[in-house]
Amino acid sequence: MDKAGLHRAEKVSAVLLVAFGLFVAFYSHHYLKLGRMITPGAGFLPYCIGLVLALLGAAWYVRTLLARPVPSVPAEGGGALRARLLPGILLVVLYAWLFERAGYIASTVLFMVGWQKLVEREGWVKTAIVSAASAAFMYVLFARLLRVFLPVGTWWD
Amino acid sequence: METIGGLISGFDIALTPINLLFAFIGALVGTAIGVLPGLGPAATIALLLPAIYVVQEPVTAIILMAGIFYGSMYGGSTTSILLNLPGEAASVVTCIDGYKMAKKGRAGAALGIAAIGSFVAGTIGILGMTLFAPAIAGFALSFGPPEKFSLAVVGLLMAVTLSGHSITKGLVMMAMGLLLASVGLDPISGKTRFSFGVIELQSGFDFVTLAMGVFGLGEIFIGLESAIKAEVATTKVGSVWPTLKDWAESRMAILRGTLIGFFVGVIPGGGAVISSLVSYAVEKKVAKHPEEFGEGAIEGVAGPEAANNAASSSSFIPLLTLGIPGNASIAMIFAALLIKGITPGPFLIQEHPEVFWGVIASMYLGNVMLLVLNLPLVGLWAQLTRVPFGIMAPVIILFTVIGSYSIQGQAFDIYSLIGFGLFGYLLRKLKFEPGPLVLAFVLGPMVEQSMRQSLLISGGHFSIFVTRPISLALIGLFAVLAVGQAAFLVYKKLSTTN
Repeated sequence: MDKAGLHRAEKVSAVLLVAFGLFVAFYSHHYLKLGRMITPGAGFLPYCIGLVLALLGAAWYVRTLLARPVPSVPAEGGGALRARLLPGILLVVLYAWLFERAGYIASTVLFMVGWQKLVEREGWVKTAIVSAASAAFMYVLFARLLRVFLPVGTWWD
Repeated sequence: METIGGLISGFDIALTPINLLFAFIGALVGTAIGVLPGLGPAATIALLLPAIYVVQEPVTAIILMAGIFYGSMYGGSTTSILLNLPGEAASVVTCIDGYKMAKKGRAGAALGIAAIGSFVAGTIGILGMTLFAPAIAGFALSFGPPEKFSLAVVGLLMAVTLSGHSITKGLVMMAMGLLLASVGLDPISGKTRFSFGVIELQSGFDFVTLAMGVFGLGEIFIGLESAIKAEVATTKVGSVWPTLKDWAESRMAILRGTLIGFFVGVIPGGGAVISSLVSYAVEKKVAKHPEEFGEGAIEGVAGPEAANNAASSSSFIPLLTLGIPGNASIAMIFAALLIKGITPGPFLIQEHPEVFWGVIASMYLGNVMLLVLNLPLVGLWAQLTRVPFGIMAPVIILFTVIGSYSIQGQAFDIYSLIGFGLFGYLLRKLKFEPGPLVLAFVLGPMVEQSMRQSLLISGGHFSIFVTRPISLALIGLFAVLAVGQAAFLVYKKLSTTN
């Protein structure tokens, strides 16, 4: 992120932090209850934290406003790099969704193939070798050596 | 005498084949993962935390984690010297002269002096811990809820203010950590907090999932965007034995670094980062040829490496004696102890002497293992630094996903992991340091419980925190340090403008 982008993102994040802090304080006050000073309730500490977060958010916003404005310089290759991040995140989410449904082996091979093709844009030979080797290595490590239970997949029941 | 007896019994435990094996595995795997570009000690420990569920004996599990910790610290030095890529902030200064040495064909000497300096400093640090820790633990036995509350809060505030990052952002992280720790059942009233009807949230967030998400997955997401690219200075390391001239130039630097590291490491938030920076500044100041600093001066590697390893050893003192972790990596060892049913703190030495002395003894052995392991294997570590990100990243993701699933066997933990990964990514984008978040998360329950107990004792008066002498002294100590740091910053700013 370039400096001007960071400056903008900081301002938005500071406002969101104030809103979040106020929400936490409101929720703690109304639903968790504060109790009495001698016996504070479940909401007492979260209420204080909410207020502190709102104050810190406000301080952060003021500090960002007072900071010297920076001329915008486009980040080098930002678009191309973001093109790896988005598919990467989506693949991890898909992997999580498939993990119990399709089972460890199918979901892991699919994830690795997807990663090598969509994120790294590798050829099929390297993709096949890396995917099979990684899935097998992790299976041996976790299921055989560490005796961790890995799902077989509810779809195949 | 008690200390010697305790240490002997510790060696009896640490020298059992199983504990030796796990100390060795920890040092080996910690170094191997710590060497991978972009992965610092905190990320390495986070990734390997699920391993403690596999190990039955608490002492063996903690020996494993300690091995991973100092192994990963050494791994960070390797990437700094060969790739100019510090795995964590403490290794930043090692890059300055270490990478220059590697560029000049002296990678072996730089790696060798880093390993030897780390060994000397680590061993002296553990010796200091052996001598001082029982006395500190004895003193801390008199702490009641108000002292515990002040200690935890002051420890957190020190971690925020001394970390060298933005204090506002550090405080935000601290508050966020405390808030995340409050999710789930309130231990006193039994009321569920912030679960919003999600059954899995009633028991709160799992520390391992949080740590793996923020440090492991978050690091990978950042790496995807910034595409970690580093030029390997050389993979032909050459002889790791420093020459006589190197020895002569380094020995005092190692000694000074050790002393600086040991004392700074005890302070929460001080740790390896500050000690390595201070050591570098001191070495430059006392050097006969300060102009060589930045151009490959061996003292610029020896001093800071010794300092950050001595600090790593002494940072165990507040953990084992007061129950206060001083940095993110130690916070993970704190969590590992809790997972194994052991509460770190002044009672540890009485209730679980086998853990206390076993871990200390294993650290002596681990330091020797690290030296024996690293000098001959330095060529292998150099090759590992070349593992492409395209292979490393998805394998780490598999590690984190399977690791988080293995804890309770529920898909919810994987979704939490991804959530924390995205959170960790955003934190790095907005220049937040996630260390205080993790520290506050592990200390959260202690902070809340001791605060509520203190208020009950005092009849609802917050003045209890300033009327009890130890609590007041702790607050005073923090005030002195904070004012001192502010004065230093003002002085630095004024001298730059003039």
